[in-house]
Amino acid sequence: MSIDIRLSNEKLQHESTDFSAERPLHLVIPGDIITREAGYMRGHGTYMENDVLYASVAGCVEKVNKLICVKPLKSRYTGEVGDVVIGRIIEVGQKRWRVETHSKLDSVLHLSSVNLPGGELRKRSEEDERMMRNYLQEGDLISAEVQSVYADGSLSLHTRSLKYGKLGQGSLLQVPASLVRRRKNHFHNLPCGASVIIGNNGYIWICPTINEQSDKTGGFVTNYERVNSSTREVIARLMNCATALAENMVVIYDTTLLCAHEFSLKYEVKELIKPDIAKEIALLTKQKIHNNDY
Amino acid sequence: MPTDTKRLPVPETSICPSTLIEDISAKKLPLISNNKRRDDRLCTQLRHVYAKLKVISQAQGSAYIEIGNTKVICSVYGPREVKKRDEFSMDGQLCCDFKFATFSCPQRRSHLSDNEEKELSQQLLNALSPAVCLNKFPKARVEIFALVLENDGSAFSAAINCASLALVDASIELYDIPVAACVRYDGVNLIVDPQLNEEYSHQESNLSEENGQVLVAYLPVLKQISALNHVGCLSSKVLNQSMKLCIEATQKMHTIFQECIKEKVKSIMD
Repeated sequence: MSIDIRLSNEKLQHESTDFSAERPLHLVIPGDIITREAGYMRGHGTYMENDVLYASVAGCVEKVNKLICVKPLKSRYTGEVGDVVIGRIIEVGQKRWRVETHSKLDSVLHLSSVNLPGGELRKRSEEDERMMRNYLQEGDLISAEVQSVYADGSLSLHTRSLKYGKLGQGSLLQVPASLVRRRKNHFHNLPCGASVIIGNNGYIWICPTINEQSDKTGGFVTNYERVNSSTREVIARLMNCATALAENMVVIYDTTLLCAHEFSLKYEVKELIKPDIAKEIALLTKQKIHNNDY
Repeated sequence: MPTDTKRLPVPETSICPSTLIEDISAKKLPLISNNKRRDDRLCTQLRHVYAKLKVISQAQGSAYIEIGNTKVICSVYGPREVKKRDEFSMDGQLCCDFKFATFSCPQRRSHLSDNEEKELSQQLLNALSPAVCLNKFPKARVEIFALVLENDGSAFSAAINCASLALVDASIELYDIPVAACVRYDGVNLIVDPQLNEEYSHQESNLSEENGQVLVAYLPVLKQISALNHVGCLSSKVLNQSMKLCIEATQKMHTIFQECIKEKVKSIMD
């Protein structure tokens, strides 16, 4: 068996592609003073004391008009209504499921906010309560939308659309939630032969192409047909591309993912996990996105 | 000691032979001679500090710190939902665990927490909690695990520093970064950041004279003391002086940590 060893000083020195150079980043750490001026609004990651605005997390300062926030390097997902999330069922309870969504608190999926067979307006009977585990059990993955955010920050989910529901065969990948860009659509059928769901909570689901008409069943029927090896390879490649982008802090949405996939084609799938190749792909993607200014 | 099949069966108690020899020689040496300490430091000089963030990939945040030969690793998990409903509170909870690794001290430690470690876990909690914005994660809990890998004196202050770096790495909202430092008084001199053979111990303390050690955890931006730990017997004047020295030392440390964190943030943002 051969072993591939790379020394860090042999790494290709990419010319500095620092796009932030035009506008220097204002980096702060907890306790740093952001501004002494009055009249600013206090956003996430800051606190006010004696009319002085301090940072409470390490990260870079973002200013939108009068609102000042500090964007942390990584944080747990804080939900917003309408976000598409991917979660894992961790508990089946009375009339609801508990779902892990990488949020500070567990999210809930009420029995009344899922689509049950037999129409939208069907009354939930006791029979349905007893059958809950048959529909979703502990460990199942679901895609869902955030219906509401409670006062303590925990999320209530719903799957009242046929595109949401239980996920069948595919791969799950976790990236920092801050890297996922909010878009109109988070479900993409990529031309390279796979479907991705980019959850706002940083969970990315890559699966074989979903057929628009027949496969959107809300997860009642799970397709356990054998996935052929070429599709698997595409999925693995997309996984590695997304990991490469996440490791090098490139924003993830369908365009960057497709770009990265395009650039990765000259390498084998397994080569993509090498740090220098991952970095190269991420940088190329960053450049292309920057030039096209998506 | 309860039997644990996953651990190597080692003797329950052991004494490193070198400690016996060193003890005899070290006791004869005065703490200070020619204005130099046993390791050629000045009285107020700190040891070299090395700090690194993000060392444990599974944890939400982690840090590693070396102060001289004292090595501490710390990991932070959460905020995670509290499962027990009776512990309900609208404020977040902090949960600390301080542990000496079995091989960290000259004398082997138990792999179970002893009384000293339980006490220090509580003190770690007291030192850190004033700095954390607990109202930002209601009903949830942050868990902090500090593990001393090698104890060469001032291990607890290193653990506080390491834990606060790990909290920063985990992006837990903090009012300030708690920094701790230690000062030893041997009856004549005040020495900052004592190493193991300079630390106060009950055995060698002579009750007739002033002798003791002070640890201060300080919030440099808010200018508040979050924890004060004092062992031995000190007059109020000396206590005052040693606290001032501690605070001076924490301010030096704070600049080091600021640099360390900023560098990390920069390297990730680029």
